[in-house]
Amino acid sequence: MNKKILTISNLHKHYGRIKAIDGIDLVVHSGEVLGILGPNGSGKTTTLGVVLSVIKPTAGSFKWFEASPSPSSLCKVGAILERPLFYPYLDAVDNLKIIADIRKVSYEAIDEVLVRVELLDRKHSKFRTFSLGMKQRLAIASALLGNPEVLILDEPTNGLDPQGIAEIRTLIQKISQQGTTIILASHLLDEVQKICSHVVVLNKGIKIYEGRVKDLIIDNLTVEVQSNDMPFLEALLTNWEGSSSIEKKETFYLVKLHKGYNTEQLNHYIFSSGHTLNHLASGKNNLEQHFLELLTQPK
Amino acid sequence: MKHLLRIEFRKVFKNNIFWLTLGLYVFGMIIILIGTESFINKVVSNANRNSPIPIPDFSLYAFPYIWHNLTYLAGFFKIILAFIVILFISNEFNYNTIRQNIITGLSRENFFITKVFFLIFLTFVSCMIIIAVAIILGFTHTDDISISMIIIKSHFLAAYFLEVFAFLSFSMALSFIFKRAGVTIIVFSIYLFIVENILSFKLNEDYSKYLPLKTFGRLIDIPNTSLMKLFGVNFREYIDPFDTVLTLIYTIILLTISYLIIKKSNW
Repeated sequence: MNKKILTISNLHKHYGRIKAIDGIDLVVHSGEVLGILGPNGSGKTTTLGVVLSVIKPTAGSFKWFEASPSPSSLCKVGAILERPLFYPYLDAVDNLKIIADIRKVSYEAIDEVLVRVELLDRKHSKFRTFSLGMKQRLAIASALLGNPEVLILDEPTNGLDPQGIAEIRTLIQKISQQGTTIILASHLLDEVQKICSHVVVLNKGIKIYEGRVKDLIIDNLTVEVQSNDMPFLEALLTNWEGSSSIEKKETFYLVKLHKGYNTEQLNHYIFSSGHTLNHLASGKNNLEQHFLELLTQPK
Repeated sequence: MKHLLRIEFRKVFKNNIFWLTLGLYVFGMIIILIGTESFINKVVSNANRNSPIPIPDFSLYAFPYIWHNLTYLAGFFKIILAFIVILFISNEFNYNTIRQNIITGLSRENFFITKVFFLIFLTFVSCMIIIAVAIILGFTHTDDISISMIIIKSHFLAAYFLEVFAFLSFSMALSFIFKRAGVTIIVFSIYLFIVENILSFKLNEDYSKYLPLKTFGRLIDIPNTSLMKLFGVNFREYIDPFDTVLTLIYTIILLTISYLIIKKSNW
């Protein structure tokens, strides 16, 4: 097993009667790209705020790099929480110099991170003149300063246009390929599915799922199928040992597969039964469906 | 420690509003410190025409009394420095950069220390203006200069440093409590100009002498001038140990309030 980067034990954060976090346990290992998934208000940002020591927990504890947390351990963690926070009247370089001074990193690293987020040509522009996408990229640059072992990104694509979203996602993938552990909080399933290797689902301050992203998908494969002869298709599907449930939608059937069965097998079965499909779609909404199921399950 | 200085000074030195307000302060201080004597003498000479007894000309700028005179005058302008403090500390909440500072790895203690550096810096600038003006005016207005004459009353400068630093500690504590510049400036002004004045009017002397801002201001009393001697009024020409100790205690309390707020809050 890889070394433990972050360990959270039985964490609670209550604001009066509201339980923002209600007993979360979590271990993040080196090299993982962990997605923290949950609707707004599920405790994602609060959890990250606690491990970044800006929020005091009500109860429970956490460890960075298997040691008690200290400001110096945070120097090895690059993080953006909610939105980019910089001095608007300073330019990109001066803002990063403050970060470099806090982390005791050489100023020479600044140009390097600006290149990585493609902001070098705007290094002397004031932060307040930046577009939202540029602000977000500068935040990632600041998080990368000093080559941290872990990167924490809270809703990094929030409010960005599609091109900005794509740029940030590519950037995150590049960073993770270089071996940096990443913790990504998001309410977008698609984002977690595309970027993350592991996922934790939070709801109302409680962890309701934890595992690999691909297990989550394989566990609950659902497939949309449609043919010219829908009653015949339904009969075929009902007889197939791979289908666990069949749901009739407006123009297609939504088939949930048993564990171990996949879309290819379904297609093969239909075709070898002498029938053809005119619509076959899988994978796209699986995580979403599963996610919604998790959220509605009473726990 | 050096990196903490760099962090704090990068936040303020590259800000135009900082230089604008500090420039106005320095300019205003110099004008007032240099111009007061001729202003008073003009008023006095006007009054002299109707006066049965001649009122002597004022001399504010002779060593060693210049220290007392200048530090007393300068005391009225420390409110501008307080506003600079309020503005820049509430910036950290306004932009939420205090949160980013902590996330990046600045300890809460060190964040507090950078702000204390900022207060010391402003107090130091204020003292430097007085020193510069005192040296220039003192040497040109004193007939018979000796080293001891220059030094003998310079402890007023130390008292002035304490007065300004205590005052700025008060404005910093309020900034940490109220977080928004506008609110803090209003509360600060109401307390300074209204609340303490009412309290000192209503309260018995035994209690009113403990009012913090009154105590800071009392450190340096009104200088005795020839005019006042004429009327037989005699103000205190020394620094009272009671006021000094009380100011020190208040400063420690105010800094502790700021520190505890930084230390205990969720950012």
